[in-house]
Amino acid sequence: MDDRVHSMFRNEMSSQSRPSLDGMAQEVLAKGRRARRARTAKIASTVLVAAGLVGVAVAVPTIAGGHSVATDRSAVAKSASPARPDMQTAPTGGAKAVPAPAILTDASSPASYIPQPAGPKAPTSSAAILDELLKLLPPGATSNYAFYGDGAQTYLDGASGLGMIRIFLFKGSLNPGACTSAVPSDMTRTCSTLPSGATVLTTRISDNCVEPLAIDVDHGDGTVVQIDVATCLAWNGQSNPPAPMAITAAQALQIASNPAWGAAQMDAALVTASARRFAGVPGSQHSSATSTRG
Amino acid sequence: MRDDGEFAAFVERSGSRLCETAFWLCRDWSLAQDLTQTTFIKVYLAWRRIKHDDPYRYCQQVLLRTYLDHKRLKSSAEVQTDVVPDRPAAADATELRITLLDALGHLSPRDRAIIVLRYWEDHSVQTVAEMLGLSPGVVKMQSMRALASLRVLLGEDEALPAPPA
Repeated sequence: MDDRVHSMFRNEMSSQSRPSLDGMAQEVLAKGRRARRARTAKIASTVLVAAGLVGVAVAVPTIAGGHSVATDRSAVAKSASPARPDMQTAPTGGAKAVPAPAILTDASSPASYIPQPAGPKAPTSSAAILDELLKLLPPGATSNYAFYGDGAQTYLDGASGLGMIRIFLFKGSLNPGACTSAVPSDMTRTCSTLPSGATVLTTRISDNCVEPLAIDVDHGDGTVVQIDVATCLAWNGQSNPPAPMAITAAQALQIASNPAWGAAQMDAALVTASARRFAGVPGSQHSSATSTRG
Repeated sequence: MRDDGEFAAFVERSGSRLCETAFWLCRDWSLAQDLTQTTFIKVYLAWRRIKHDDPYRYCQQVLLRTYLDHKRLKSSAEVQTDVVPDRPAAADATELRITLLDALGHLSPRDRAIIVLRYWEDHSVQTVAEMLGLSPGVVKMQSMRALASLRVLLGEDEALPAPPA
């Protein structure tokens, strides 16, 4: 008798028009990496607090009894064992190792370094982020749009060839501690300050073709913009095909520091227009839509 | 990156199947895609730990939890009614297929999950019990009741199996 129910299920399913899941793997990977990063950042923050508490707890006996707290700090740091390289315990050597701090904090920056233009605003959407990104890119045909909840992706076929760019807007601020912390050998991290006072964090990761160059700009007022310039294209089911960087670091910085960005809200007309323009770009799939600038 | 490659291949292999199961649970392809994607993201975070066991089984459990949480926390687009759909005048195959989908919508989320796991995923009572964190006895009882409800809704006494002994 069970077979009848089984066959009813299967007959029903065979009559259904299943949606395409093309691009889901890539979308899941991108969101998964984000989620892992956020989770690791939370762990790292917790470990920092814990390490601080251990330091305070042991400081009194250190002063009184003269023994070091370094080993205890190392143990706490190692216990976190963060998965992402940029959050891993800094390789500063033996018992003095401390965890590298998260690059983002929940706290908003105290100042507005790159204020948004005045005018009506609406809640930021991934479509608006993509629309604004396309406006700011150098000339070239764009394609393979995708949304990532708090960000967007596009290919740009520009002066250096077809490459992939992703952008993410975060609520919070850059953690100043990230600028001075040691990082793994396959990563470099440098900080600078724009004339406006905005902090710029430039991260290069040698073994990550999706995020080999990441430019983070803290706009203040709770907005951090990150541009990832890839050296490969999106996952095609078998691989990430190699690709040139579609824009330079200077161009990425120029885009990331544009005043139009706002993690909470952006220009209302842009939000409205982008919702119509990119209505066919589902969050979980890539669009075949293309456009050409220049 | 190797882990990511393995995971992406797993998503490619199992995405359609998982999405179909999600569809039976929520009866909406758009929501099914969302549930599937959310499930895979959660699985990604545990991938290194579970990839050598039975990742698809793990996916199913995560999907179930995600679906039941969704039903608890969000107002669903589904509208549960007290109105039993019209009994089909004839046992036309097309009507039966449509009626099965409609009939599932009249079950509670957990009863629907039990039916889907038992008769779509072909899991045993014991496995369903483990996946839902219930005793086998509860699964049997709820399965029996759910099948009885479906029988009434479908108006097709012989289309469904007798209650499990």
